[in-house]
Amino acid sequence: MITIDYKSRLPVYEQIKNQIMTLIQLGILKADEQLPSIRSLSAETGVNVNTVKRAVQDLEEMGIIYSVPGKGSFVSEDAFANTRIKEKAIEEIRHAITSAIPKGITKEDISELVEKIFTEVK
Amino acid sequence: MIEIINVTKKFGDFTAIQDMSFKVENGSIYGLVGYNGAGKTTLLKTIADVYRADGGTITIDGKKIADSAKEKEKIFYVPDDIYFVANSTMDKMAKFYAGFYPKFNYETYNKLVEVFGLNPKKRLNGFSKGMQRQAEMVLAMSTRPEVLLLDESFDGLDPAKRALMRELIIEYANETGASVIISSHNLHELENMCDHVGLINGKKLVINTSVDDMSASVCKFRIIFNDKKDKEDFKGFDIKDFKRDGKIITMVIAGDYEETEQKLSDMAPLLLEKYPLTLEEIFLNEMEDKSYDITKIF
Repeated sequence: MITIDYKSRLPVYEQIKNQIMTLIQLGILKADEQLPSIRSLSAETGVNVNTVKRAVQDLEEMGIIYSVPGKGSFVSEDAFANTRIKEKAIEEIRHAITSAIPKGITKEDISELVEKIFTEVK
Repeated sequence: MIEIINVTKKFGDFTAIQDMSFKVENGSIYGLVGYNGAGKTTLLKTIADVYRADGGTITIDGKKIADSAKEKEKIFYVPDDIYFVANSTMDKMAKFYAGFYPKFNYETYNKLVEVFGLNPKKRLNGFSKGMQRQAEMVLAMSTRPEVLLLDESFDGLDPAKRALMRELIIEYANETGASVIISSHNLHELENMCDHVGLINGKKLVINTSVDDMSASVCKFRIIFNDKKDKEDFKGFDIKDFKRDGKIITMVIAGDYEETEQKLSDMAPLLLEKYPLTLEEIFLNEMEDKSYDITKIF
């Protein structure tokens, strides 16, 4: 379920968080669906259990998942609409645009791109 | 340039390395990788003519090294199990090597001793393992070899000294045009330092390529479609590894990654992410024939 990018400077627990949020947004993980256990995620990715735990705890704090003692972690009902996920996505777009501007990208270039992408997606 | 041509080494009935061929150009740093016992040390010792090859030849700029004292003055082999004359100091070892290597350079020696902060008058068997390795590296570079063979020479060094060694090796190869062959298990380190790498597996050199080509030749993709797809749906891709977890497919695909990315994108997935592989991942993929169920051990 989770793939770690070892070449990325992004900390592993951030990558895990991002991927779980993406899977929720894509509808792959549905509301109230159970997440794989921390132990199995750790075994799958070869990452320390505490690192995985940190990602899971962060997601819980963000209200994206909830845990049931003795059973595990589950996707929150309103996770899909969770503004934190959208906020993160917008933050990423902002970052991409601001780094593109010094490279000569104009507002028009970006509007064109937005048009293109949404036409393709349809 | 040093060229290894179809080299085979046997010990009695046992063939340690077979038909190995590769070359290391001037100024090039070649990383040698392989599992424990694969034959890295045997290969390096054969290149140093410590072992006589049972088949094939080794040449420096076209001249065979076998039994040639003149050619071997150009080679320095730093073994994993470092040898020092009993009770010697660095200064004594410098004199020892200067006797065999006419190009031994005392200016280089003194500068390196200072850079590493070692005491050249102290007995080497009083040095820690890491310091002994540093001492050996100082002595090796002072002989100004054209071919420098390093057998796991970074083992046991602290991070600062590792960084220093890396810089020195790169500088040395650049400045003198020497060929360096370094065997190591630290693929991350090799990735940054080497321009070419070779992987020994099953007595043969199964990978022999430039680091850039290697990184560009294969890529991991994570792809999610609306419907459940399987391996058969991806004909026309050179798939090295395929994993499916529900709708999430993770594949390692060989070939030009931009082309592959475009072809995958044309299939209109919900999600497409690409993950360039580290050297370690590429090699592990190549060597993976066993997977252990470690959960059953404890």
